[in-house]
Amino acid sequence: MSGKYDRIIDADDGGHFFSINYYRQYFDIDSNEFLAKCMHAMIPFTRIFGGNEAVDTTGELYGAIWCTATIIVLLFLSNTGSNMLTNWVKHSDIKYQYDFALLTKSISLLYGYILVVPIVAYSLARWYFKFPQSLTLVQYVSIYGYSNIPWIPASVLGLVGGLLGNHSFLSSLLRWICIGIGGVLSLLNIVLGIYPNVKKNFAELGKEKVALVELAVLSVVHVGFTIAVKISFFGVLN
Amino acid sequence: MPEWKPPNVSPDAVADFIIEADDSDDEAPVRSSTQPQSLSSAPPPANSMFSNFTSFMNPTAVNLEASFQPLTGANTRVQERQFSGGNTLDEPILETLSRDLKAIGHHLYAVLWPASLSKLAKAQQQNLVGYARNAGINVPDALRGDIENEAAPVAVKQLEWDLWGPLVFSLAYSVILGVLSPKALSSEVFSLTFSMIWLTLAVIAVNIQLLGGTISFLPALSATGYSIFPIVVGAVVSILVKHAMVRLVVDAVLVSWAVYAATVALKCSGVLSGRVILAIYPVGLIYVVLGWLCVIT
Repeated sequence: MSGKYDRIIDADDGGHFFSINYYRQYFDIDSNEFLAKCMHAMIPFTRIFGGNEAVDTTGELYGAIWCTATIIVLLFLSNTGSNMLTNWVKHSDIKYQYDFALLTKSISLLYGYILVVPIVAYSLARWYFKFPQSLTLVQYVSIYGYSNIPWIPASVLGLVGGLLGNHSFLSSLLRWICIGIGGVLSLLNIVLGIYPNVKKNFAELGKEKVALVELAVLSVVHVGFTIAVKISFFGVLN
Repeated sequence: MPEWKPPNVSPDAVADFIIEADDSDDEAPVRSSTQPQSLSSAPPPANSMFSNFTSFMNPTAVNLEASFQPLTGANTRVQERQFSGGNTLDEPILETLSRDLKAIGHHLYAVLWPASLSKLAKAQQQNLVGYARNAGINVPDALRGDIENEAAPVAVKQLEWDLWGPLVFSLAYSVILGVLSPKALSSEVFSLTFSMIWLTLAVIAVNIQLLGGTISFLPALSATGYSIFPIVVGAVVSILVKHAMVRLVVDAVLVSWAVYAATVALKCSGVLSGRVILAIYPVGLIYVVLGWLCVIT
């Protein structure tokens, strides 16, 4: 893969594994491509009706890293902000104290999720099922990274939920709605990103049914991740 | 300047006439501009030796082209290099300090008034796009619009970088946050904020470098670190103002100011035009977090 701007920067693209130039190939993306990808992840329905070619998920790590960072920041803002609003609405004198532990916990949860699951899925595809044309590991990570974008509107809604501090039923209902939006849309992104390739490869191997099993397993894992997000950011399960 | 090609002169003839490098320290650092400095080379052939030697005695009369023609060939241009003054080891400490302080002040002014850099930023971006076009790369139409009416690349002075500003600002910010938080937590908040700022700045600088352009790690760190200054102002404001809504408004303004300053500074340092948003986005993210911490403390 050669970069668009490589000839400006330096003649030799690639470079050694430990040199920074090696990693430039994973950051070869322009602003407009990035925004287009984000839009498609935000509204995954467009891809169901054959819009899939518009966003070709090349292996690129900028989106995975910074979309996830955005989600972490927004979930943190939403959590602390809604707690502050609740205190304000209830006129309580208890000063709200943010905890940094939440930030570190969310970093390990979100980055862990977009790293561990793709690595497992890729290893299975590559060495256990022996796919003829597997997605690369970077592509898996990229799909998982972009898939989390629907958590952005969810966290904004969660912030509004802080205003409903006096109505515990409405507040928890709103939180479950946020979780629903985030979880379902991001799962849809993952499925739309991974399933075509998985299906094609299993069809070539003659094991179509296993594709559905893998899809089901990934969905269950994603539900687990969604519940973890719910516990960390949107209060305890109730 | 053309490369110096060593002529075919016998070593014995050369040895006597090599002029030592100028190392008389007791003179004033800035010397006469006509004094030839890099003449520690071979002299002309023996027959013209005397006339050239006298011309060395009287520096204004040196005709370098004529003296060196026999050695370098007819078409080579010989130039004298201006002696640019003593090195920084020789100058008084006060001069060094004042130069560094001036550089820091210049950076700070650029953050306070980012428009002062916008001309430089534009020139830098044009250079990059022009460079891309000359290398035969397709430049997006959106970028080309500004360039067509402009002439050849402008000579752009690269911004200097230093880490004093980032150090002072991150320290000030973390101290304020530590003091504002409850007694039991203050040291924890201080250390976590301080390390968070530096870690994220480092990650951001690596990210900017990976996106490409002519910028490197430390200038990116310096540019993003200096632009924290408005947020430090926000932290000072939150010492004085306890009302959360007022803080929110003030910090929102200050954060957008910081992001704008960082954008201009990064453009000056040579981020590719199509990727300025990508470079600035993580910076904005961390600035929002820092501003938010000021609000909720």
